[in-house]
Amino acid sequence: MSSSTKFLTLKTCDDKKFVLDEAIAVRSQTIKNMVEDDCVSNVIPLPNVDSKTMTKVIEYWKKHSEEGISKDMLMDFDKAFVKVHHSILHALILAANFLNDKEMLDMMCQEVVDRIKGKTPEEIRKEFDIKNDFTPEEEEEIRKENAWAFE
Amino acid sequence: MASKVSNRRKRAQFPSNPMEDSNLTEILPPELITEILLRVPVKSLLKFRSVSKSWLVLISSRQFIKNHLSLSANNHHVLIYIQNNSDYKWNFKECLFKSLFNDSVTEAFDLKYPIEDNSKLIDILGSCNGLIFFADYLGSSLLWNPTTRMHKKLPNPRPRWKNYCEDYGLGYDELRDDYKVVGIFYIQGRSHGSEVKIYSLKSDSWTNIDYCDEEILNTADSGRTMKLRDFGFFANGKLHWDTITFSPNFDDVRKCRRMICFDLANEKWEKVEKPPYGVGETDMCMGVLGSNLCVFRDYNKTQLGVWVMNGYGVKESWIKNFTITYPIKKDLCPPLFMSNKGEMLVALRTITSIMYDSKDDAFRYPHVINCNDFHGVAIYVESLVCPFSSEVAEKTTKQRRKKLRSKQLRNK
Repeated sequence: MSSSTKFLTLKTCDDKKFVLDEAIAVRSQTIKNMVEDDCVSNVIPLPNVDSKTMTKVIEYWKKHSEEGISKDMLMDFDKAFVKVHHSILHALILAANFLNDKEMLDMMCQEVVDRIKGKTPEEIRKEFDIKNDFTPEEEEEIRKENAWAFE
Repeated sequence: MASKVSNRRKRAQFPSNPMEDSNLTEILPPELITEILLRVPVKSLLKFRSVSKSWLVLISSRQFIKNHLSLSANNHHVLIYIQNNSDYKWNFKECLFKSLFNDSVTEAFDLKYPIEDNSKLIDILGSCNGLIFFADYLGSSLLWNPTTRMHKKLPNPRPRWKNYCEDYGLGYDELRDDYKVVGIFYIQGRSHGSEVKIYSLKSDSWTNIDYCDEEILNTADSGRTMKLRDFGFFANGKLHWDTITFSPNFDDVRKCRRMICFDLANEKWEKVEKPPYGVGETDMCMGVLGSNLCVFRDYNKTQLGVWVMNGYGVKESWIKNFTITYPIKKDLCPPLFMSNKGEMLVALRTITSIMYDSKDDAFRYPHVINCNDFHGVAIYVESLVCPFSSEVAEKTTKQRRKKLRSKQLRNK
């Protein structure tokens, strides 16, 4: 184990390269496993993440790896970080899932939850592009079982 | 092929116009949709059941309910029950445990009482994974999930004796994925022994426990009478009770206190090792801290000691985690609940409740609106756990599907 900083190069699906301190990059369990299994050559390909999303992920990783940063500062950073258009939010969820960063995935999922929990089933279908496969009678019956929740 | 996929993803993630917006979530795979839904509060999930057939199946599945519970295990609610002075009817309210700590004002919300005749004297005798067990003094008992508002009346346990005394506990048998109520029936003041019955939610019936450990459960030979105190506390797959054994002339009670437990998986009684108590401490009651068994001990009416069994079943793991000086010089009721962060809820008869925070060793008197008085308080977690046996629930789902299918066929 050498004490000098080791750098990794990550390549996103749109062929952009990111050079990153290994100590930061291993916040991703996926990258960590690759490093530990010694199957890292010069460049780590990330076929499921594009450069715009990766820029956001790295911004998050760097902030969360800063030395001496206070809990309050991180909380403020996180709050601002999740305030993105929901297309970016979903891209970040996919990236966090692929990179296997549980902390980040938790946070992004929680943000989606906060955005959807007050919505009606119709709004949810629109949000997730889900087809309503119930007949009106079926839907009515299921709604009746928990009518109070719709009040 | 690969480039085609990535192009599509790129377009989907960064739409040029908002109309494309609704399509982009297409790319969230089902396992991530599940990951999101696991964090959604129960009330919203009940609404989301009508989003689509696949969401209904997902939200109703046992595995989803289990995983959802493990994520919301710290989402505690306080159930408050109050009896009306004029017509003796019960009112139920709930508020968020977290809010009592963090907010300057906490609102209590009315809960609909699940049974029509709400004037019988009742007691809440168990709370486990979002289910609450209560019984009245006439042999009828109920399992209730206040979050989903579903309830189930339990069949009568039919004990051997008339005019019996009873003690109950509610717990979860992980091995069989079943909720169980243990009922202990005996005659007060007489050493008849006891009868132990166990109710299984899966089978929706009471069965007798044949093996009833004479040594642990009763002391018929010596003419002593044992009494369980309080309801059973559930920890580590077992229900725990504090016991007092009275000798025939009711002397020297203190020496005969013990802790016993009932293992829900193998249905056997066991003794529980006591903590190495300090000098001058006296018993108060048992409780659960986080998922660990704990014992509250009074010291000289000035301090409360909280002993926690940090490693289950290991005598040496009993540690006095907290020593709390009472805020007022008077009899403090035993704590109702303590979270694993050291937040404690104590209810007093005169004021609504007081909270203790071990982080700053301070007491708070939360201001609760829509609730002036209380008879009893219980703690429950928010969960989708259904108070019906799964077989029964599945049957109704199947019946419903069948009904709908035949309706559809008729319409065609």
